[in-house]
Amino acid sequence: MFRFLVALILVSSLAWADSSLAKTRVGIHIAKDRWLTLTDGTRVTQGREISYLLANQLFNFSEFEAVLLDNDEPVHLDLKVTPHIETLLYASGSRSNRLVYGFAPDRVNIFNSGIEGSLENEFVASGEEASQCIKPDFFEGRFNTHGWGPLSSNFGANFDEGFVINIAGYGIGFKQKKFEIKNQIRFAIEDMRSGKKQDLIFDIKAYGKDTFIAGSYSGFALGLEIQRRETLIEALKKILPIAVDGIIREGLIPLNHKGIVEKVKNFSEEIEIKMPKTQRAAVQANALGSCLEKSGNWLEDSIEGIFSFYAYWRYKKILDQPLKSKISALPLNVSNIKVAIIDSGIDYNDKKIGKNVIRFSGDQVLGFDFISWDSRPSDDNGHGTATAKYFLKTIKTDYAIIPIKVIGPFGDTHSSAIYDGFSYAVNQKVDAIVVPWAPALKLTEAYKRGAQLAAQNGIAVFVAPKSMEPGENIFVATVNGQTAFKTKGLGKMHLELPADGVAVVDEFNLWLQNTRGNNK
Amino acid sequence: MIKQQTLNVLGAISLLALLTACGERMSFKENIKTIQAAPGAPGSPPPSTEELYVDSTPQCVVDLPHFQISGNVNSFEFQSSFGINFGYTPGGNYSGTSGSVSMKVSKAQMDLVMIGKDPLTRALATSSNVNSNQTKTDLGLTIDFSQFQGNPNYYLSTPLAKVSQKGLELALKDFKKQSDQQLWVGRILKNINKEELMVNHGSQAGLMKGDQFEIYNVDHFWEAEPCTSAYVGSKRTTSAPVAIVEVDQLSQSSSVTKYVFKGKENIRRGAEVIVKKLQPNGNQARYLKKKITLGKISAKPFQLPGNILFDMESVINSQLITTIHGSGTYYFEIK
Repeated sequence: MFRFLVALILVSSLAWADSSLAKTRVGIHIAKDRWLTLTDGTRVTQGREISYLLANQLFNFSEFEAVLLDNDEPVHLDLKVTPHIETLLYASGSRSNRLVYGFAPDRVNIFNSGIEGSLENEFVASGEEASQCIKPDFFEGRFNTHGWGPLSSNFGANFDEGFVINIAGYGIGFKQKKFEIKNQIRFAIEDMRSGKKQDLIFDIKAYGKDTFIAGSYSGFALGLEIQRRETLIEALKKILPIAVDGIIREGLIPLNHKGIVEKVKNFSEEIEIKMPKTQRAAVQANALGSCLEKSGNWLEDSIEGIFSFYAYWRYKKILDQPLKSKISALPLNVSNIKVAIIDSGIDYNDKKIGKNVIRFSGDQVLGFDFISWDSRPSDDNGHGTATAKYFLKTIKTDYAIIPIKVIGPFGDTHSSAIYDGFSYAVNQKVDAIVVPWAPALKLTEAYKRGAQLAAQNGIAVFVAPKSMEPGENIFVATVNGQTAFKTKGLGKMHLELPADGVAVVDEFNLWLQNTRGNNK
Repeated sequence: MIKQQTLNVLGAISLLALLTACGERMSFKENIKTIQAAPGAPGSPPPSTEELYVDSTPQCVVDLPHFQISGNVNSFEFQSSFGINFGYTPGGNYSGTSGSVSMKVSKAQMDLVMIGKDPLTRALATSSNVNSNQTKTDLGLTIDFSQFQGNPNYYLSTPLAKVSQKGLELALKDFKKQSDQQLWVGRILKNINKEELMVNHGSQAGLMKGDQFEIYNVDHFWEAEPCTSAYVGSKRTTSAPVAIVEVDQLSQSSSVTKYVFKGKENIRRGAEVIVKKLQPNGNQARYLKKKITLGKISAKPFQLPGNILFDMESVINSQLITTIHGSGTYYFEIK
C-alpha cells in the first residue's frame, strides 16, 4: 500500500510538473509565397506570414503547443498543418469595366500561378512609364478606337466609375471604384495520432469602394493601379488575422476535441474594407501628385464629361450585353467549321454577326470573356467586331464563331488572359483559331505559348505578321497590299481592323477554301 | 486546462496501480509503444559503471540553450510627407519607385513576430507579435536614401532604425515576461570527480560562488535514434533532487560545483540543474540570465525611393544582436 502511494504521488507530481503532457503539439509548415502581378509591375504577395501569425496565435491557447516547421529537423507532432494559398483574385469595376486578376484552382496557368518558377505578366507598365504616368500601349495603337470623344466605340465602357470634368487641361473628377478580393486558404491538417487527414478551406471575400479624386485620363489610369495595390494590400492585411483566427476556432479546437470526422470542411466570410480617410487621402495625393500634370486631350475630356448621359446609355444598352433572344444564333450541335476569334470580343447582338455564333443556352453565347471572367464575350473596344464584320464580307463558307475575349475596352490585358484564351479554344475543340492582332514583339510569350499549345492539339492557328515563327498548324499572315478594313458597329461607331488583322483573316479564308471549299 | 491535468493524473493513477501491482517501475516505453529504446535511452539495459552511464546520455541534451530565437518581420512601412508608402506588408511590397532620393519621411511602423523555440521539442516556448500600432512612430525627418546604395548599414544611422529598434525592444520585453515564467535550467557538463560536477553556465549567466542548485537526472524520449529523430519529451527520474551542489569556481561559460548533498543515484551527464538558493547581492534581487541561440529574423527586401533595393534582413539581425546585448537579460551564441 505504501509503495502504491509513493508511486501515485510521484506520477501525479510529474503530470502537474510537465503540463506539456496535456497539450496537443501542432506543427505548422511555412506557407509558400504566392503572388499576383498588377499592371504597374508590382507584386501582391501572401504566404509565410500566415504561418508565423498562426504559430504566434496558437501559442496563446493553453491546449496547444506550436511548432514552426521551418527546417527539416525531425519533430514529434500530434497535428500537422500546411497552409496553401489557393485563390488570390482581385476584381474591380463592373460590366464592361470589370477586370479580374490572379489565380484560383479553376483558373491557373503558367502566367498567373504566382509561384517560384512561374512566368510573369508581360503586360505591365515599365518603371519609366509608371513614374511618368504614361499609360502603356502594348499593341502599338491597334486597339486605339477610331472615333473621337463620345464618338469612340469604347465610349461609356467605364461609366461605372463616374466621370471626370476637364477644364483647361487640368482634369478633376470624383470617381468610385468598386473592388472585390477573393482569397482562399486551404489548411491541410494531418492528425499524426490517427493518421486521418482533413482540409479546412477558408474562403474570404473582401469588398469595398473608393471614392477618389482623379487627374486627367492618363494619370487616372495609373492612379487606379496605385489604388488597386493599396486596396489589395489593405484587404490582405485584414484578411490574414481572420483566416488565422478561423483556422484555430473553427478548425483546430473542434478537431482537437472530437477528432477528424470530415475530410473537407468549408468556411466562408465576407468583410468590407473601409480605408481610413487619412489613408485614402494619402493614396489620392499620391495619384494626383504624380499624374496631375500629365493631361490628355482636355477638350476631348471636357466634351466626354458633357456627354455623360449618352455614356450611361451606351454602358447600359450597347456594351457588355447578353445574347438577345431575337438573334437567330446557331444551335449547340451545329456542324459548321468552328473558328475561335481571340480578340476584344464581338458584338454578337449585331443581327448579321449573331447568325454565326452559337447559342450555348438561354442568353448565353458559346465563348468566354477572360478579362471580366464571365460568359459574355461581348466587344467594348471595336477591334473584334470589325474582325467579325470582315468575316461576313469575305468568308463564303459556313462557319461558327466562338468569341474569346482577351482584350479590354481600352486595350488592357494580361498574359494569363491571352494564354487562357488559347486554352479555352483547345478545350472547345475548335477547328481553327484566328488572332488578328499581336502585341509588341517583346510581349509575345503568352501569345506564342498559347498558339503553340493549340497547334500541338491539331488546331490551325492564324496569327499576325511577324508575331512568331510559322510551324506545323501555325500560319503567320503577311500583308500583301491589304489595307485597313473600315466599318461601323457598336452603336454605329467607326470601327477598324488594321491591315495586319485583315491579312490574318485573309490567310484563314484561303486555308478554309483550300480545305473546305466554298459551300455558300 | 485544470480538467485536462486532472484527467492526466487520474489516468496515471490507474496505470500506475496496474504497474505497481506487477512490481515494475513505470516506463514510458510501455506507455508509448512507438518509442524504441536506443542505447542510453529508457528501456535499454542500465549501464554498469558510472562513467559509462554518464557517457551514454545523448550528447545533444548536455549543453542546451534555453531558447532559439528567430522571427519574421511581417511588415515594415514608411510614408513620405506626400503620402507615398514604401516598404512592405503581409499583402506585398509597395512600389517605392516614385519619390525623390532625398525625402522627408513622416512616419513609419513595423509588425514583427519573434519566437523562442524549445531546443529539444522545437515547440514555441515564447512568442511575441509586436504590431504596427505599437511601433507607429512619427518621424518628420529627411533621409538621403542615396546613401543606402551598396551600404545597407546606413539604415542604422537613420531615424527609421528607431522604429525597428522599438519593435525589437517591445518584442524582447514581451519575450522576457514570458520566459520569466519558465524555470532557469542548467545542465551537468561533466562529473569531474567524486566531489565535483561541472555546470554549463558560468559568470556570463550571472552565477556567483556559493549559489546552490538542485540536480535532477532526466530520461529523454525520442521517436527513434536519440538526437537524430524527433524528440518526444522528458521525465525526471525522481521527484526529489538526486543531489544539491554549490558553486565553487567560475569561468565565463561554465562553473565547478561541489556536493552539498548526494543521493544514491549517480549524476548523469546532461542532468538538470535548478536554482535552489542564490547568494545575496546587497539589497539587489538576483536573477540568472538565460542562454539563447540566435536564429534568423526573416525580412523581405524592398525598394527604397530612387529604386534602391534594400535588404532589411541583414540589418535587422545585426540590430537584434545589439538590442539583446543592451537588454542585459540574456546571453547568447549565434548559429
